[in-house]
Amino acid sequence: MNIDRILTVMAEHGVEFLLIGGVNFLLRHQPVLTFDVDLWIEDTEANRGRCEGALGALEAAWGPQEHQWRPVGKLPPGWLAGQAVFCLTSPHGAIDIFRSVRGLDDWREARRRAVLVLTGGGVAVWALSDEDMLACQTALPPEQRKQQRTEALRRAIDERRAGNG
Amino acid sequence: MDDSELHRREQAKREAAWDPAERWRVVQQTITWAEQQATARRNTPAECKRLERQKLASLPE
Repeated sequence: MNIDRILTVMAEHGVEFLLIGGVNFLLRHQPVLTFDVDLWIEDTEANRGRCEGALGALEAAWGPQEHQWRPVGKLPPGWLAGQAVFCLTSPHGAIDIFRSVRGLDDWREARRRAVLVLTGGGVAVWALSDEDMLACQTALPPEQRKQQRTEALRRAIDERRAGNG
Repeated sequence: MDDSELHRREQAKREAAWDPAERWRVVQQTITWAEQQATARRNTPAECKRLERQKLASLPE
């Protein structure tokens, strides 16, 4: 998996996105094992277009059904408007693109609260804040929540507030 | 010092000793290795469609 490559190409194509999910948690809290890169994109027509370009450059592939799997460069422009979340394959690792995120209403508000993170390879990325990560976890059905992450996020938030108090 | 405390201190010492760039490289390599061991591999069309259906179902309408 080459997370730096995925993040770099998205940035090079001017995609407005926030890093969410396991990689965000891994970079800022604990080294959890995660098998995909989750990106929440700003859901505008222009940004979806830029994202389609980035995914093409990453040689990502997707299909409405398994038997229709193909490089995204062969999909008709505007394909990202088709549904709220896409799970793609790529030579650099699995990529999930979210147009909306359960528990969070507004991408721009989340972006305002986001944290700028550097990967170990020196790639800078805007990542969902701890409070918003916790909101995402608690919005999930109980059986889908990751308890370890929820507890770690609550501790981090409490410690930060105690330090600022 | 019991074994669990010793283990915790050893882990903390190792974390502090890691070069961040090298640590990041190893994390990504570890994920790649784990992907190759998993019975149900994540970076496949089948697994992508399965998780996509699950995530779409969990989103509010």
